[in-house]
Amino acid sequence: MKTKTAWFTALLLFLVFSSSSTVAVDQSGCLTCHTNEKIIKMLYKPPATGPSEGEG
Amino acid sequence: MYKGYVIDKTLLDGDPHFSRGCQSCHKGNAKGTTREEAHRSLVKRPSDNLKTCAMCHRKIVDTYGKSLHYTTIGQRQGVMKRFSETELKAFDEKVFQQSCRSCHASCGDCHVRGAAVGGISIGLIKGHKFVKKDEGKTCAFCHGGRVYPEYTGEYGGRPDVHYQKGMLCMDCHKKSDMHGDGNAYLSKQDVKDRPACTNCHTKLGQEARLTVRTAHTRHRGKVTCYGCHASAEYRNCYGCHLGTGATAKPGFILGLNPRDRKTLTTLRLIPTVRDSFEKAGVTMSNFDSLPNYWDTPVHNIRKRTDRTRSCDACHTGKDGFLTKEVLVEQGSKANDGLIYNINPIPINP
Repeated sequence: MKTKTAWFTALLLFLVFSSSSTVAVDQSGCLTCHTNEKIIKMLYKPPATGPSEGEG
Repeated sequence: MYKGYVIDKTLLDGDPHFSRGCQSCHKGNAKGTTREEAHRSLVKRPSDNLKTCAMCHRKIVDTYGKSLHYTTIGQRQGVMKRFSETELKAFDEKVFQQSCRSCHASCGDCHVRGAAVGGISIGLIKGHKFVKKDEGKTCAFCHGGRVYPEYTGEYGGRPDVHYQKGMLCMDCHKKSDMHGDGNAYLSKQDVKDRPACTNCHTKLGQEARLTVRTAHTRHRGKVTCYGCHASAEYRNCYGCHLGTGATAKPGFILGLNPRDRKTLTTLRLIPTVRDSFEKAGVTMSNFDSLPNYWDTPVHNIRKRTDRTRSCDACHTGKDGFLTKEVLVEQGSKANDGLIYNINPIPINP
């Protein structure tokens, strides 16, 4: 009985953690653009530069 | 430059930092279909709020919150004696919090994305990998005006011998120098266990060659290592004004350490001038209480320099020594106290 419970708990934990990480990453629309070099190159706006006040 | 915003797909499965999804740290709107919609409420630098990293790295964040890289209190400490009590209050409010404090490093500046200096950043260090260290892309950006280019030789002269031997920042500056050790130091001078040449060079004064042994023995406690082993001119910044910055030129200055007034060392000009903070309406009633030069650990060390080759370079030629004639114009009255009148070596009959 104890062995069964331990196996079940381990399986449950594995499913919860593996699915949560996969879902979190897959569902992110951010990655559609941010893993695609072509899209980012197209959307990129160079920053405006100003005077630098101090340098260490 | 756009590559600084491209995430390396291969990192996503293996690194637990990504398991909670982008929004966990960056917020924003993952369902947005345009750049603007997706970036609404985006937090570009999540680690600016230390609580973000503290979710998992509590211990490090606790010490980091007190470290000099985060508090930047050393910048305030270096100038505060110039102000009256009222002026200091105005400085804190209008300059320190607005300008100096904006320079603090967040966790991400060293571990994810190079810090922006003058509006320019390299973006992600390695495709959003959480890197342990990458000095050339992190330290080098914030310390790229003076320290790093002197170290690599890009500023002129020759590279530091330690750089040529393959050493980088973290070979001398320890992790606790970055993350803090839990003490809220007011200046880097106060940090226990800060890097020192003698941490590695433990046998000074026991060398086989008589000239070297004598030089190390005779100068110990009187001249710093930099005093003889700094190899070339280094960057000195002049006339800094809030909003417009300073001008810089190379120089090599030897004088008394303003902190003890007895050790001869390399000095670097401080760009603060009498009207540096005028734009913010902040004056310095006690400007003359501090000199215009601080001792500086120049990062272009060589075993052999003009001063190690010949005693005459200092004792007769007085090369690089601070004198009344070369003091910065309209400088602090305290500058006079840093002038060291070196004597020729007495010749015994």
